[in-house]
Amino acid sequence: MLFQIKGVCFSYGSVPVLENVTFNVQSGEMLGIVGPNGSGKSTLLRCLARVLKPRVGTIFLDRKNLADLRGREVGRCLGYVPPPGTGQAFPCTVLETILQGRRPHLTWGVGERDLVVASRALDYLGLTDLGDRQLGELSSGQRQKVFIARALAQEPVVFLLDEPTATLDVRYQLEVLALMQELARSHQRLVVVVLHDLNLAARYSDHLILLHEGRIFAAGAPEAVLSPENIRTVYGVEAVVAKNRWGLQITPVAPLNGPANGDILEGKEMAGKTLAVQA
Amino acid sequence: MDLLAGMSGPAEKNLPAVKAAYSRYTGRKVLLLIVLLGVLLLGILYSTAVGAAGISGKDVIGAILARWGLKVFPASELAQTVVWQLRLPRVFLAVLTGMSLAGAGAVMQGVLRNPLVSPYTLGLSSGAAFGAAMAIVLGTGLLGGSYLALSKWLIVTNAFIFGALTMVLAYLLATFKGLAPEVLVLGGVAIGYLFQAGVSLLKYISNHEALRELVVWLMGGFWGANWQTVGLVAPVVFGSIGGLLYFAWDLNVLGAGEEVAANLGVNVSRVRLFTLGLSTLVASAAVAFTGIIGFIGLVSPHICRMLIGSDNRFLIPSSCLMGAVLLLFSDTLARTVIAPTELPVGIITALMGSPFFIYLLIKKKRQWWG
Repeated sequence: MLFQIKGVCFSYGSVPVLENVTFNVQSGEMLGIVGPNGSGKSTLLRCLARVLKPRVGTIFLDRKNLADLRGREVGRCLGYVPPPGTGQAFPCTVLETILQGRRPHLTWGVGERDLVVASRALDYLGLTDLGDRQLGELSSGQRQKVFIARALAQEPVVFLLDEPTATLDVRYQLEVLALMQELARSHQRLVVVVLHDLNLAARYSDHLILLHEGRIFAAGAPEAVLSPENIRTVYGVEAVVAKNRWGLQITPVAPLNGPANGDILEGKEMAGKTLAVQA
Repeated sequence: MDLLAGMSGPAEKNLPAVKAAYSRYTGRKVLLLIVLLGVLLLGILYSTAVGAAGISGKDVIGAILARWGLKVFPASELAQTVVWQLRLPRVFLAVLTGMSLAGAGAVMQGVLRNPLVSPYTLGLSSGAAFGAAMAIVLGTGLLGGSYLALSKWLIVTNAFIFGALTMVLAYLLATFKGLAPEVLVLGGVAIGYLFQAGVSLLKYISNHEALRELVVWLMGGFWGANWQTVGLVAPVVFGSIGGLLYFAWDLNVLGAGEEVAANLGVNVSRVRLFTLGLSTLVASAAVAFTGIIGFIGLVSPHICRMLIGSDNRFLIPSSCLMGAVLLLFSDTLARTVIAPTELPVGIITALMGSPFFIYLLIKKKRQWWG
């Protein structure tokens, strides 16, 4: 399975958000999208999920134009997890929410197979005991897991997650990203994940795309993309990048031209260098 | 594409519990439908039996069966006339109106993702009121024509046209803003106020007789019920509700947000157009014949949400039945509470319904909206 994004441009009204974005992802891969606020990460993800249609450019899924997919095929191919904060308008149980993900597969009745998939999705995310709870009664982290389980219930080839870890505690962050990694590696899915946390992005992604003002500023292996120079240019932040057994350790030190504080003097000496730390 | 098949063990152990939970929920929803249907049927019998001329339940059944040529219980000529010509049309019109207002309310709330929405709050009723006021006060409507001969039909058509027009205007207004639900809701409310001002103006300039007729129309009621009316409203109601049920899953998914719905393969703007169109059609048709009846369209869906949740496959039909039961009950009360004088049904729905709804709102501890 090959996901090809060719020359995608998008604008809200007259404000261009994405300009000529081109890249390929293959199944088995986990792609991270990083970049500062307003760099177009979420917009790009929404174009990939066919929630938005690119103004210019084409997206191919195995040489099939994404724009040509008909209704439910979209949901069977692409599983989108919205950013935290989008909930249900009306009371809804966890099980009902997850069954929404079966919409692309069913017409009216919920069948045996739908319930099997739903129970596996519940179990996969450790939500088994919460099945008949109201969504509104859960913590934001649990709710986020429910939304991931809903995408899982779609049984898609491509998973598209917008900031899945933003409301999760440390343990849940690791759990969720490890699950996504497993989906990519063991189940040959294709995972695209928008992340703010550069450390997590570097650690779990096979490849990274760094967006800057709607364009791809850098793409490739995490070490190459998240260099101190790139972080300085794109984020306007001095950072120390260290490499250890678990991937990159990125410590943002101070904003360029920003107010100074106590630790910075020491930090500045090392900033701008990639350190190799023996772990 | 068996994504999760690799994982077995605990997931499979979990399956019976999930299945049990799902069938328990579904059973509850089906049970509510059956109970409501039973209550409605009993209500129809009871409501047909009570009134100025008391008729026993046996006579009611006898009269209905006699009509179909089954003389099981012989019913008197009087009972037959009262049941068949007076009571049943009125009962059926109340049932149909309750169904259409509650069904339209449930769907409008769902598609606009707003718990405060109903045909009444969206301005549809105000539009219909303006249409009716125009016909009553000016004796002329969009269609023109001789007042005396066409009076009743003029009111009905005008009310229907202007009720539907409110929603069409609100919809067109919202298309300028990418069909945002908030714009649609606020636009409907604003247009509703505009028409209300029109109604006030017409009230102010009308003569004594017209004013009285208008005030009575505005309070809503089923005085004008006859078989012809029922025959006109019934196909619209059942057709529209059937059409709305077709979109039940799409509405469910839309509850999760537009983006998720779009990703799940729902054509959001198409679903909005069709569901709002059908619910406008059904609500306008009912309001045109009965006048303004608030409350039912707002509250019936919420009572059902509290009982069975928000699955539109069950929420829409159970809201319809709930609306029918509530409105039939209110109308029966309106006819009998200070008989032989009748109260406008709108007074009863609000007077009885509001405290009941507030009670439910407080009693339920769970947080249902938000």
